[in-house]
Amino acid sequence: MKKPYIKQIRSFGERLLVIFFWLLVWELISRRINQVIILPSPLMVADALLQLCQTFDFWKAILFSSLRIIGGFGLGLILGTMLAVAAYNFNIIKLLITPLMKLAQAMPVASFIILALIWIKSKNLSVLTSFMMVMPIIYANIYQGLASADEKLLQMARVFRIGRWRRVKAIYLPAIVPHFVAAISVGVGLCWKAGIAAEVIGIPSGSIGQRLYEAKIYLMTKELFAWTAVIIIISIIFERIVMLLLNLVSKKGSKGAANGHTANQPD
Amino acid sequence: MDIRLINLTKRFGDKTVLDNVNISFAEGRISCLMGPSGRGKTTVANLIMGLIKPDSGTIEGCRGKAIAAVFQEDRLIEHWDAEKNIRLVCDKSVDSEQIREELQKVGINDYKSKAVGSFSGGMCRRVALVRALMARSDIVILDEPFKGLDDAVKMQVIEYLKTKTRGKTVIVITHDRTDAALLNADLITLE
Repeated sequence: MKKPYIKQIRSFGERLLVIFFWLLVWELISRRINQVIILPSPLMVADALLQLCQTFDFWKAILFSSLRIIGGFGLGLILGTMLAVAAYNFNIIKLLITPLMKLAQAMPVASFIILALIWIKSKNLSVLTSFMMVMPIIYANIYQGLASADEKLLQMARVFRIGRWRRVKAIYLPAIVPHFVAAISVGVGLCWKAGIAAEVIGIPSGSIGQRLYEAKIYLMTKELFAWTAVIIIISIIFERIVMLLLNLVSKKGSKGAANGHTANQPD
Repeated sequence: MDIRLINLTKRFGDKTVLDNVNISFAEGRISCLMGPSGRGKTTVANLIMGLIKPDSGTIEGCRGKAIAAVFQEDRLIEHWDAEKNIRLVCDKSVDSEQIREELQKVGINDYKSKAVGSFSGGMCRRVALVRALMARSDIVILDEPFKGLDDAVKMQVIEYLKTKTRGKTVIVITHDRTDAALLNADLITLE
């Protein structure tokens, strides 16, 4: 019992050292350049972040953007799953959906954001953008998972007349979960990147994107770095929460599903 | 009603596996389907189970009947334990105690603690057999059910099979002529 504990501490220590190394590199480069407007030091950014944390607007902006981006993520998750199940069961739906998914994947995010800005209010732009980022990934991976379900087990289920829900639990879920987990992992990162990009272009009032835009306009580089750090932190926290929930669910349905798969793009 | 295969033909690409075959399996009896490898014994089983369709000919006596099977491979959910695998095909009224008793009759005691993926081939075969015999069924199809079993266990399993399938139509695919004798089965040979 003692050894894995020591291993964990060692691995944590190693990670801390790596972070410290890169902070040191950043600090040294910043000192060499010696211009806050181009590259502020890590301490300056930390100070700016601390200042931001003390304002009500900071938390309001986080809430504003998080709600919309997570909302878009949730919608993409639900619709992507529903479409994948429909496409798996009905070939005509698969045929109809495939070009749309390909289009959604190939379209440059910036083009889509500008187009969407014509159709909807800038306030909701990040919802649509993060939805459009997540939905094709979820669709492709759930479909792939369903298609990879063991054909021999499905035949067994047919012969024994095993009911639909038992079939889902025994055969489909274990096949889907690894693909789903990979899709979520990719989707979470993408929805934050694209969602914030949409806010920077649409500049909805009270959003993180607006604050980033203002920081850029007024050359507040420290704040720009601080907001970037905030986005990364929220994205990581959100991903951890989703993965935790997924692990809880997948533990019930299947074992060891949450590892080592690469997310697929739609075919 | 007997299961009757009438003028049955099945091809896979250019290869004709069954050519105008006529077979009858007596209702309520054990029949052993024998023949050299590659003669289409498993194809016959798959046709009766409805997993594949014949190119021509008809199958009578299966419509509306509940079928249970041991497949050529065990087809168990590997990360589930034996009890859970069996429960998957059973009615809700079947309880853990009943499953445990049935598994012990074929010499399986690790029914709940281990995933069947960690079982030996012979143990998986017995779990697959218990699963087939505990499912509600009128017809039982067993494709080489004694594969991987040593002689002592095989005798135990044969006795268990005979008790559990009384009154059912059973088709056993085997290479071993002595299996047919031990099961008091009708012998059908695919030439």
